[in-house]
Amino acid sequence: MGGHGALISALKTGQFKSVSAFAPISNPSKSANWGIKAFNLFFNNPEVEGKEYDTTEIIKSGNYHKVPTFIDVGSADQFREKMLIDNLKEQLIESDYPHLWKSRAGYNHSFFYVSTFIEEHINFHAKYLNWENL
Amino acid sequence: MNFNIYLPDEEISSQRGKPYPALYFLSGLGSTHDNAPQKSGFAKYAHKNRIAVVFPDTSPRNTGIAGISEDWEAGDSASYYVDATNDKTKQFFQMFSYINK
Repeated sequence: MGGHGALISALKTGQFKSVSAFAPISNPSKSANWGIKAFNLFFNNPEVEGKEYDTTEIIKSGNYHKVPTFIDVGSADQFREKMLIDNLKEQLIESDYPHLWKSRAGYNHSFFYVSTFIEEHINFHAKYLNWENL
Repeated sequence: MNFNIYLPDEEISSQRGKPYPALYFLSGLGSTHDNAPQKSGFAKYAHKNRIAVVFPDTSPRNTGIAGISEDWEAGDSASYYVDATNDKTKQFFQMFSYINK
């Protein structure tokens, strides 16, 4: 869910220099347990409002701020069907949205997966975040 | 709302009063503001790159909304970082604005 929050924040506001995500919830307006259930809790009109907070739908709409983007996922992620991350992968390619995508063989959704690859993510952001630009 | 913030130590004395480049690390379902700083191993690399890291909580807490903590996939620790619009939740669940404004 953190990756989902990061992606929608970057795409919708344009105020971040870069964005990355570990195994993000990717298409919540189409996921019964990881999206629709929460959108029904939060929104008056979940089918409409939910799409405004859905990375795959935002990319599909063409209405977003383009941000350097790095998406990471483990090949053995036990929540792949809830995240619907393959929908995002396909949409990024269909929309020709520039991005870095890494699939980690054998890793699941745990913090051990995150801690194994955090260095690459922080180095990615460091390329765009630097003292000279402040 | 709780959060953690990491500042690269060597810069505190030499650069105090100046802004830091900041990375916002949003955590996942079931997490609080403590999971990512304690489990991600971020500090070595944030230090090396002289980046501050902010760790917000994943949802409002102790809202008193009926049933809000009963489902790990929606509600407490499961805000989905949206601005809620319905009367049941909108008073507290404004996480998109909290993160971005």
